[in-house]
Amino acid sequence: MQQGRAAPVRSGLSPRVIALAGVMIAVVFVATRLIQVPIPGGYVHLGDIAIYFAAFTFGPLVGAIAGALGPTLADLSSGFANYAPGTFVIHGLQGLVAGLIGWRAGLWRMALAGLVGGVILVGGYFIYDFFILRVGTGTAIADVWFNLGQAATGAIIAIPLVLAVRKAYPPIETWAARRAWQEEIR
Amino acid sequence: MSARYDLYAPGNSWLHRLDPRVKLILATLAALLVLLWSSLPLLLAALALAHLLLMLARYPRGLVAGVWRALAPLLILIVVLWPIFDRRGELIVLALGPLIVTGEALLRGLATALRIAALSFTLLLWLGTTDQRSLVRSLVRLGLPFSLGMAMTIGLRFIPTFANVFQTVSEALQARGLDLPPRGLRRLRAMLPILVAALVTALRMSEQLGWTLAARGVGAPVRRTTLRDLAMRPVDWLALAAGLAAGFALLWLTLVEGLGRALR
Repeated sequence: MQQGRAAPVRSGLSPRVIALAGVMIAVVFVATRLIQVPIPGGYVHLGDIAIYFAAFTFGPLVGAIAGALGPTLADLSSGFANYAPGTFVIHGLQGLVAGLIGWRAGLWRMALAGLVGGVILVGGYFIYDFFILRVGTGTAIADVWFNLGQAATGAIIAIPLVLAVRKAYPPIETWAARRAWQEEIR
Repeated sequence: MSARYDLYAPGNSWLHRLDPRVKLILATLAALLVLLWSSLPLLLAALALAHLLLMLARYPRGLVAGVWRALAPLLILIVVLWPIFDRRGELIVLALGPLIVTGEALLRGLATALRIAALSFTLLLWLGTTDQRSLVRSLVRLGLPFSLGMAMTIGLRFIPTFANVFQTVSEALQARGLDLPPRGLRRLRAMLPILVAALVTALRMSEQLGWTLAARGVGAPVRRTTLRDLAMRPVDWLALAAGLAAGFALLWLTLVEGLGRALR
């Protein structure tokens, strides 16, 4: 057994947020890697739906962590490690922005968040494909079509999913809220 | 829904024993070099070297073949589409109306596909020989906040759990008459009840997990200790120094002398 080491605490995430982010990373991973639905001309995975769900339900912090780490782990574990750095930034930003706009919001703000998230997703991967990986115009454009399908299905399915989960399990509305204990004044 | 959740293959080779931080730093430097190169022979050599190192580390051939299978559609797409958009070169191989394919464009498409493959296999040297715990521990030691490392570990631990939850809920609802169309948006919409039930189950798990973490002092303002820590051995320092020297020499040659920037 190796000797222990004392390390300073570097981040102030509460145990509740750590657990929530961890479970949402697993949910996004499974939705990306294992749940794929055939559509005409290819398939879509449910990763974006899970990212929007995390962002709309638990806010920008959990959305960004689950968005950045879930799909990145999926890329790293499926042979697409070349996409991992881009995925980390693009999906992390997608989760962050979607959470900033659509956290605990109504239908229209969630739709706006889905639209902005879609622009980040499609534009981000095009820039990564074209300028970083340099895969060529044809492949970058082909990837735009795939990502457009992802972004559209992500937003279209995530919004009813969030509304359904809010209805089925109301306690989640307050889960990611910071809680402070206050002494009762008598 | 049986699937591998990572590309790690247990082993006791020198590559497995190397400190995960050293592997991460060297793999990142090598990936940067591969990204900068366009030379067909150099990319081929990098790909061959990655395969040689994987073979020396006794990495299973089945997993190598699996990565090739996963990459194949993207590589084929690049090789097929690149010549259509690139008109450089004088030697015309094919001319069909507006479609003109030159020999140089074909080679450039091939070089790009090789770059993507070389990049993936260079990073596989790190991912395939580092188990998930060491991987997260190395990221934390390199500066990732502890709480994010913890979230990542929980995520990796919960992947099979949530996959099982999803499958169980899916089978239970289908046994009760849920009709799942085979494809398209209708299938996605029909999956909503499965997703709702699976997510609520997962969120209840996370609530219990949060209580457990709080009960064990996670998030408390104290200095943390670790039971198993990473320690650099002399051979790790040697590998890091040699790898960095070679990597930076190649980077200098690439950026200043133009090594690997031309196609041939």
